[in-house]
Amino acid sequence: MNAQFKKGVLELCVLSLLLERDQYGYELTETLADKMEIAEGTIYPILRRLHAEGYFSAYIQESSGGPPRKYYSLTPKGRLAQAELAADWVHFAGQVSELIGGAVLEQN
Amino acid sequence: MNRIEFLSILSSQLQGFTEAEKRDILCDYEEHFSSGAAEGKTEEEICRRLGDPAAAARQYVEAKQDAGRMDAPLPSRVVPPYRRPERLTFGSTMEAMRYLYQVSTADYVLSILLTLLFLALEVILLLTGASVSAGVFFALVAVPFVSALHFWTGMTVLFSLLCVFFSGLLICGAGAAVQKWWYRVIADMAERDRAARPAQKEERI
Repeated sequence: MNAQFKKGVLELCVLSLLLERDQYGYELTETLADKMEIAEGTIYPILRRLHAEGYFSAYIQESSGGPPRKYYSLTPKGRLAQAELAADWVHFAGQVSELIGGAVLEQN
Repeated sequence: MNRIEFLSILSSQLQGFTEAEKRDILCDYEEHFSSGAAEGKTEEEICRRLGDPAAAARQYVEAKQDAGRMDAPLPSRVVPPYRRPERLTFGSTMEAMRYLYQVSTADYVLSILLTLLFLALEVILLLTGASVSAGVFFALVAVPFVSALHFWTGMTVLFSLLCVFFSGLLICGAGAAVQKWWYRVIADMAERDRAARPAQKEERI
């Protein structure tokens, strides 16, 4: 998958996953790596940055049979950002589909 | 590659980070390795899935540089220039309104000034008893209020607009009460005037 596409959209994916429920780093990286071909290591910098900018809050929770885990939870600012990014993405994807659709039709 | 190698390469590439910051970053990866091991993955496999530690380090460094650049005393957003639409459609009208909204709220100073001006006008309208005008004015023109609610509390724009609309209705009601009281005051004054005048007429006769 094109590197440029991934870069722009990973934030939206992370925010959207956290919208469903609070998750810890490993969970998020596994889910994303399953769905897209990305290096899991590229996700932790994004988590750190979004946390620093106030899109999530974090809390530690004990886990059975493992170390205590740091869970991330969306803040209102994070929810707002998710909604805006999702809307932007849908709008953008629509525009691109139209352009590609036109080119494909011309080729045929 | 094993866990120690991964973490040491990552750590060595984090130029310009304090010890506390490095520990914080490495902690995330330690947690990742532990969780992976708990699921039965080997360190090699976890490293393979994590990818290149130098690439991850670069991302941290870039994020730190970007954060440094964005420290401004008054936060304000850059609004892109407006492009007039070809045709006037519902969508383009919405786009224009959205742009107006962005411009009026892009600068906190402008936002505050508009809010104060708007409040002053609102108070004047209310005190003159123009209840409907005050209510409608409030509901329609309260863009700075919507933007303030939107940004300072994180409420959605729709919810902020609804708050403003119903506040407008309340103000309408308040204005009607002020009107009633004002008319009563004037009517009382006129009544007292009329009551006083016959007494004066009698005195002269």
